[in-house]
Amino acid sequence: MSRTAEELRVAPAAVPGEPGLWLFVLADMTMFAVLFGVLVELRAHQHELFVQSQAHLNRGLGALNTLLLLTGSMFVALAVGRARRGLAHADRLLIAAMGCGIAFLGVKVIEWGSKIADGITPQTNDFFSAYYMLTGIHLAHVCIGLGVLLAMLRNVRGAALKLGLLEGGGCYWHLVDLLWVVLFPLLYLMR
Amino acid sequence: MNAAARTPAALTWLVLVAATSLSWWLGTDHGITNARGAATVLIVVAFVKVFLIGMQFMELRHADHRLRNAFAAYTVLVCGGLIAMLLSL
Repeated sequence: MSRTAEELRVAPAAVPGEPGLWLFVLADMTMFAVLFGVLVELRAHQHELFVQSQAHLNRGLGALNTLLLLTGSMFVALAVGRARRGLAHADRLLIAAMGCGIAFLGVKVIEWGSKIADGITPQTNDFFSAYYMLTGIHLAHVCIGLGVLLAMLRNVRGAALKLGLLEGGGCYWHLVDLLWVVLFPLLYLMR
Repeated sequence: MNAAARTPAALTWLVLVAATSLSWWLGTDHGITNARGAATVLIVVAFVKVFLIGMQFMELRHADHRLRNAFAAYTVLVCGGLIAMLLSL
C-alpha cells in the first residue's frame, strides 16, 4: 500500500477529519441537547406519565444497546490507531464495529416491534412520542454511521490510505455513541 | 493483562462500561432514594462519559485547543443546563 507524506503521519490530527465535519458534529450535538431538554421538561411537567410509561421500556435491551455502541467505538478507535501506524487488522476491527452497529439495529427493531405489538405507538402519549422520535432520529444516525464505517473499511483495504477519512469517519461513529450515552439514562433510567 | 488490554481505547472502554453499570445500579432502585438526586447523578455520569468519548475516542485531547474547548464547553453547559432544569422545574 503506497502512502503519501500526509498518510505517514502517526500522530492524531489537530482537527480530526476536517473543520466542516466538526461544524456538523457540534450542530448535531446541539440539536440533541434541545431534545434532551424536552425529555427533562417532560419529566418535570408530566412526572406520573413519564414514570409509568418508562416502566414499559426494556431497560436490559437499552443497556445492551449502550454496550454495543461503546464496544463499536472502541473497535473504531483501535482500527484508526492501527491504520495510522500502518499495522494490520484495521479492517477486521472495522468489521467488528459494523457488527456492533448492525446488532444495535436488530435490538432496536425487536424493541420497537414488541412495543407496537403491545399497542404502544408514537401516538400513545407524550412520553412515547418523544421515545420514538428520539430513538428514531438516533437510529437514522446509526444507519448513516454504518455507511461511514463501510467507506472507512474500503479505504483501509484500498491502495491509498486517507487518514482524514478514517479519523473523521471515526468521529462520526463516536458521535452516534455519545448521543446514545445520554439518551439511554434519560429515557430508560431517569425517574 | 496483555498489551491489547492496556491500550487507551480498551481502558477507556472499561471506564465507560463501569460508568454504565453505575448508572444501571442507580436507575434500578438500588441507589439513592431521592428521585431528583438520582436523576442528577445519572446526568452527571452521562456527560462524564460524553467527555471521555470526546477526549479519548475522538482524540480531542490531542486536537486543536479551540476544538477541544468547544467540546468541553458543550459538555459542561448542557450537563449543567439539564440539571438546572431538573432541579428548578
